[in-house]
Amino acid sequence: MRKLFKLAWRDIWRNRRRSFLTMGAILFAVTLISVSISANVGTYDATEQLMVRLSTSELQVQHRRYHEERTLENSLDETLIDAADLTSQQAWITASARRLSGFGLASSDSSSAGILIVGVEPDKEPGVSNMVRVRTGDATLGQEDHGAVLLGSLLAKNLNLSPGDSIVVLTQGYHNVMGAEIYVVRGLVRASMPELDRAVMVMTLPAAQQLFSMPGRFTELVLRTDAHNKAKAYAALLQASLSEPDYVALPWQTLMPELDQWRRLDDASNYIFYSFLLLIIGFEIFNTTTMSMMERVREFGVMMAMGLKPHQVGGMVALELAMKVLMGTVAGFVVAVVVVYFLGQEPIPLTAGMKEMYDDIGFVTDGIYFSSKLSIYVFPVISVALMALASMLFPVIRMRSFSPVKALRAL
Amino acid sequence: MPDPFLVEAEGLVKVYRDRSHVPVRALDGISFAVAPGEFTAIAGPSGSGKTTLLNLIGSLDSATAGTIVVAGQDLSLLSRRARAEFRLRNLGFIFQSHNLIPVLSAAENAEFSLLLQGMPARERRRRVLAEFKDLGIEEELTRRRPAKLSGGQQQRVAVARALVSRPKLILADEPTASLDSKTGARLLDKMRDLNMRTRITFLFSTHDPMVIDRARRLVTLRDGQIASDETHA
Repeated sequence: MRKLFKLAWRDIWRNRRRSFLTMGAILFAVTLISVSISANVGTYDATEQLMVRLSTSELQVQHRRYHEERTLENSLDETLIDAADLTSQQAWITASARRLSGFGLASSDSSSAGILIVGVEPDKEPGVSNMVRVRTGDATLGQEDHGAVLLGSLLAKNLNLSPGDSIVVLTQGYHNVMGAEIYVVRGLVRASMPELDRAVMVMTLPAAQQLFSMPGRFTELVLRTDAHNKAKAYAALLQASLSEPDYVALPWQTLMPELDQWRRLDDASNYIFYSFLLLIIGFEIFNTTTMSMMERVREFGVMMAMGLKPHQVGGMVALELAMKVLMGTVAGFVVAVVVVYFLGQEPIPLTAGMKEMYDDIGFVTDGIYFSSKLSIYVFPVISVALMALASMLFPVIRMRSFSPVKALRAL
Repeated sequence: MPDPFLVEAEGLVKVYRDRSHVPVRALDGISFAVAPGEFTAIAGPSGSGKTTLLNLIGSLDSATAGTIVVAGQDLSLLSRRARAEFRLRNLGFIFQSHNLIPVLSAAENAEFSLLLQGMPARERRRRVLAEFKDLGIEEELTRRRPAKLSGGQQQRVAVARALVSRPKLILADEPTASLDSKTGARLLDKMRDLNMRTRITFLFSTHDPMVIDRARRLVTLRDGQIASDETHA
């Protein structure tokens, strides 16, 4: 075995250029797929956190029908759920805030627009999301600022309003009670999600409860957790502790299904690309391996004539190929780790055009991030190694079935 | 009572199919025997079946019909794996164009069959050096790879490789074909000398007069049949 190992090792370096080509192809595939997966995972992770932070936060408690049917009748009763209680029971909840969301019609002197009204607790909302992040220089909402509102910057632009202007709001509230109120625009919200920026109007929770004629009620209890990727497990935990059967705990994946769907769709298209790449690499390896085997057929015939058994010939060839795959894969892994490390130091900023393109499809990101999780290397290393080994299988099997006399006749 | 013959072939037939799948009768019912210690040449024109006969005796190929017994073993009863083991323990091969393994040194090439037999490294090395000395291969050549050896040196290493495991039978297919006449003659004399000293049986396939002149028995094939079988004094 040791001698076969020695032979196999020397055979690798017999035609250095071809061996380097084979190992280089493996290295290239492992590196390219690793870096691509790293960028994908890193950017999606960052985007998920960003989008979750911008709107839904990680978990919400809602009425069980609210997610499907967003009416004020499907709201929560303050007397049946206590955020402070939940937070004290579940140590992983790091912040909580109540929200009341409803729809209305807003009018300025010059125009009107349909709006999303969100009543928040101004002191608690920053703990769960960036919804009330105002533009630089603008004032924000105070705890008792019940007569003031914040407008999405695009909404303000459409209504031709600026901080200090008045805005009239009409709503159809709880049990269809009509609501009408006039507010002062305190500041403008810079929501990174364009659809939110175009429609959102933020006010204090008591002001919203009054506008919608639903004191003591709200639509969402928004919760921040200590790990955004554990949201599903936390939702299940929380659900078990909710005493009201009509109330449900929903993770961000359920609240923003499009985000998860985008990721799956993108992953699927990426894996199709990886499959093609693997196929090309596989053919390249098959080609160089077959060439390398075919030009040594006579040599194998001599060895077999001298008493080397067919399985030993196959084993020697397999050993040689396995060593090439191992070296190519390890080198690819090392190069990929180094490349990902350097790319991961700072996200690659998006150009204005790309950012606009992403904004248009509602995908919020400020750059391309690279994940350095060890799991990103699992698929490239295993798939490339398996593909390389599979493409070498045919020559190995052929070697095993060679008859020595035919091999000796080979040129 | 021990078998008086090392090789016994009875009614050997070998039919090949050529590229157009037309059957070609390479051997047509050959019967012959080789006693231990013989120095025999099988001669004949190209296509007469010399190499085919050598391949069958060497268990590299199977006969279409007939039986062949080498060293008491009916080769047709052996599996591919058992044939490899049989070759390893009983046979040595010398090929026309040396056929040394290019990635191994001269010494490593020569010790290859000993290695497959599982002989310890020290013993292998001792036997290879002794064989090299016997064949006049200088010690400084032992570490050289085949590409760094002359044709004559390569063929001497190939002979050493065949001899070193002390097989019962050495099959040499046109061993002098790629050598100049002087080197070829020297190598043949060496082999004859070894045959006399060690009683190892040599069976050559050749049409080289130098080999034919030195053989003590000459079997001539024509169209897959034995045309003549002469023993020289």
